[in-house]
Amino acid sequence: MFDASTIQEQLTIALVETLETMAFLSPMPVDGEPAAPERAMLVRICFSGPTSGRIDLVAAPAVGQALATNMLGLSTDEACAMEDVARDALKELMNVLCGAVLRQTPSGGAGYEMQIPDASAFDVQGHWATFIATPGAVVLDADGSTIAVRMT
Amino acid sequence: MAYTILIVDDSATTRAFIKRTLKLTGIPTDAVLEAGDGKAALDVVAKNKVDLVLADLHMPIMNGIEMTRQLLADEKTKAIPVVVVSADPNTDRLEQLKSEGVRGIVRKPFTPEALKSALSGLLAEVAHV
Repeated sequence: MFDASTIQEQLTIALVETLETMAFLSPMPVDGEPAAPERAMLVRICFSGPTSGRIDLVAAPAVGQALATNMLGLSTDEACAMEDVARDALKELMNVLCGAVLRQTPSGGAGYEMQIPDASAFDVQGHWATFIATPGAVVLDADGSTIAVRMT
Repeated sequence: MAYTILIVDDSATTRAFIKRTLKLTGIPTDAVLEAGDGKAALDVVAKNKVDLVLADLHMPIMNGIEMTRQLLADEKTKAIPVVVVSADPNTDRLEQLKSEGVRGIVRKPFTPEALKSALSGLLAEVAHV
């Protein structure tokens, strides 16, 4: 589709815009080697159109909780207790992120179709290193929690 | 005047977020109703006096495109403004919907200011009907 540096730039721009606008989070680059989260969720979305592909996002549970807290005005305790809401918030993050990425393509988004995002547990031990080594992958720190995104 | 606004989105979190953002805009609301898909939204509209519909496009059972077309085809509901609130990047589809009668598009992610800007003119029309 595109070269790795273009993908990385597109993902970074879209992720920062989405997190700042949706959830008032200020993601920053990670200093040094990104540490693997203890637990994480994988959210995936497929798209088709002038090009086809998939965006994967790996995030610690704290990211979903922070999203839920900031999007909905919940307290931290409320957000921690509502795992479904945190998962739903991550899926909506992916939905919005994918739209923002595709709007950066040469067609400006015209002709693209997005699928519904899917969320599942992520095998950190088995797959974190491979995930962040994907050419074009982005790893950011969002208020103390790690988010990694790649497009394939 | 205070308005009854219907939010249609299959994500409960997103509906709650839009509801919260609506509150932040300061737009006076009598009631904010919710539906998880287009068919449920049509049921809500049939049973309530709705002033404005905020709708996602991609939902199960009945999507926002079909829901909008049914609202516009019905004499009783065609005057209710529908504003699409979506992450859909497909500009062709969005332009097509506007040509069919959708009154506005709010792209996700959006700020309270962007939502208010999209709705204020439409609600002023509703107030004068």
